[in-house]
Amino acid sequence: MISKVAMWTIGSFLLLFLAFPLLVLINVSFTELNYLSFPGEGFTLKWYQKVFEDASYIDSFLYSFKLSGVATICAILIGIPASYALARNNFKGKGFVMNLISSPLLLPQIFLGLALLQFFYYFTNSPQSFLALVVAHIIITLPYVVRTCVNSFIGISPYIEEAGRDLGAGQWKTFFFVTLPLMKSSIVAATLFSFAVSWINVEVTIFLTSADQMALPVKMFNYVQYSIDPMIAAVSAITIYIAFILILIIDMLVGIENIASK
Amino acid sequence: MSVVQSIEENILKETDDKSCIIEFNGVTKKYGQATAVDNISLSIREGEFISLLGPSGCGKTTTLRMIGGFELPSQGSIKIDDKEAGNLPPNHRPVNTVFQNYALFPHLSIYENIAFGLKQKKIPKSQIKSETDEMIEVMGLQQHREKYPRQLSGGQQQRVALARALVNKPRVLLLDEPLGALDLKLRKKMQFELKKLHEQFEITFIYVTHDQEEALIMSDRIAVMNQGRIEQIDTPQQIYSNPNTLFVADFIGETNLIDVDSLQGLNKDILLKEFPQLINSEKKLVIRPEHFKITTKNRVQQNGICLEAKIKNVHFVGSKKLVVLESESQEMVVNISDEEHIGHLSEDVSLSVKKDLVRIL
Repeated sequence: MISKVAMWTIGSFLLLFLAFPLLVLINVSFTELNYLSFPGEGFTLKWYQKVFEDASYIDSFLYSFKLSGVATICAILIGIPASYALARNNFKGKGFVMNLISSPLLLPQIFLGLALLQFFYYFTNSPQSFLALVVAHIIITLPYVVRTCVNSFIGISPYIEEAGRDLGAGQWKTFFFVTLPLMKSSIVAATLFSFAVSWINVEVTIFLTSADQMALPVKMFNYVQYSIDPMIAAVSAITIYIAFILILIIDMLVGIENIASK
Repeated sequence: MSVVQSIEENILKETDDKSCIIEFNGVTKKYGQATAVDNISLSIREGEFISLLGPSGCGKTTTLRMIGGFELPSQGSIKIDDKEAGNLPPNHRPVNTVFQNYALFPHLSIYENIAFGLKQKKIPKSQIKSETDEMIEVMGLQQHREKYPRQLSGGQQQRVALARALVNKPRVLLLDEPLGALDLKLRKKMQFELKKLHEQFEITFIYVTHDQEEALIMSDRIAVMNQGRIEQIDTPQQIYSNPNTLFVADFIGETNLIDVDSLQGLNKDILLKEFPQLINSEKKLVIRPEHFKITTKNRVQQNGICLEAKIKNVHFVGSKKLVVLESESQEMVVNISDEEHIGHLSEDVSLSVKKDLVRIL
């Protein structure tokens, strides 16, 4: 009984500790003051209004959404077959390939950004393009997809796939009707991770973003260098709302416990 | 020739006439340097229940997987139904497998699991439904139709695995230690059910097991395997009473393997007199524990061989007693019925056995 109470107390504190910064942000986004200060005073939607009236912010939202969406889809399309190959085969240099894919997790991302800037400058002369950004974001999201999916593929018994083939389904059919459905929650988790990682990335993106089309986090980063007002809190708060809605939708579709338990 | 023997030979002749469904010709399977299956030739007859029996690592599962198409032979040929199976993938073979841990599809309901094979064929939906439903009824799975595999017990999952394979009407059903995960009682029940299914479906069953009792109970023929080779293929009776090799004798049932060189004195003299071929030979005497009789020392038995031994231990194992004896450094085990009393005997006893029950391998 006592241990249960203790668990609940510790759990609640942890939750509060994790959620508190977000609550601060949301609180500040409604403040009537003209500077960032917690707790905020009064209640106004004027900062949200300012965001929606600023076309460049809406552009950045859409641009980031497009960037993260395309990068995530590509990372999933590349990452799932790659994970399957890594999970089912043993070959020389497998560890090396795994480490290579994971390397963006270990390196400071600012190096990666600089390296990619030079790379694209050398080969295309126009490093600050959407294509360059997509490639960069695939590189930084791929480790999340591969790390999640390799382990899940390993967790699926090869006998289950053999059973599919034994019962008359060819290799492709077995993959699509037996293996992939079993991977559902891992793929959803990988998609979520990739999208989030891509959405919030500043370090790599900043090198490859052009001045006229800025991804949202870069735009925010630029903005706070010159002016700090609660509008930036409103922008951040909008991102939090979107994330929250996304999680609710996913929970309805597959159940968040399913993903968490993987 | 005894009556039993002549009946058995008749059975053999009869089954020889049946056509052969699977034929192995000099099949070898290597994994790198290791040889899993070593030059096996084997023909399996249409409709028989054959067991591949052997200790783990003897190549029995590899043999089964080569029939299923999951492994390809490194050398030699496998014919299924007179056609070279060669590199045919599993989905193009007229065989189905019941996997060791059932390998049911966890994301599909019992109905969908069983219908999976039929859905891969181009047959009308109504036929898929009627055939699946019929199979569900045959296997007594009606109440579990809409459940998922994890909601079923081991025995029920086993039945789903069988139904999922049998619904495709394969020519051959491959079973890879299907009862290994079940408890003893359920295993006995399923052995009986499998035998019934075999009679009902009239197809060939190839059954891989390391459990000799299971193989003896269910099979028409048993192929005893060891180190990638087949040591003997025969009816269960023949395997038990006429083992060809020392390995088969030792692996099937309990056996006393007596090394004459380890004996001394009177016992050695008696044995060498009876079996002069043992002189300067590596061969051993093979005597089943139930063929020994324990008597008071020095009582002479007619047309039998008498050995002297000391009783070391008596174990009670349900329906019988297991007596452990020692003669010099040679340990021997004798089974006697539960009712037989040996309490009146002193420690030193005589062991007697009929000469024609002793094998030399």
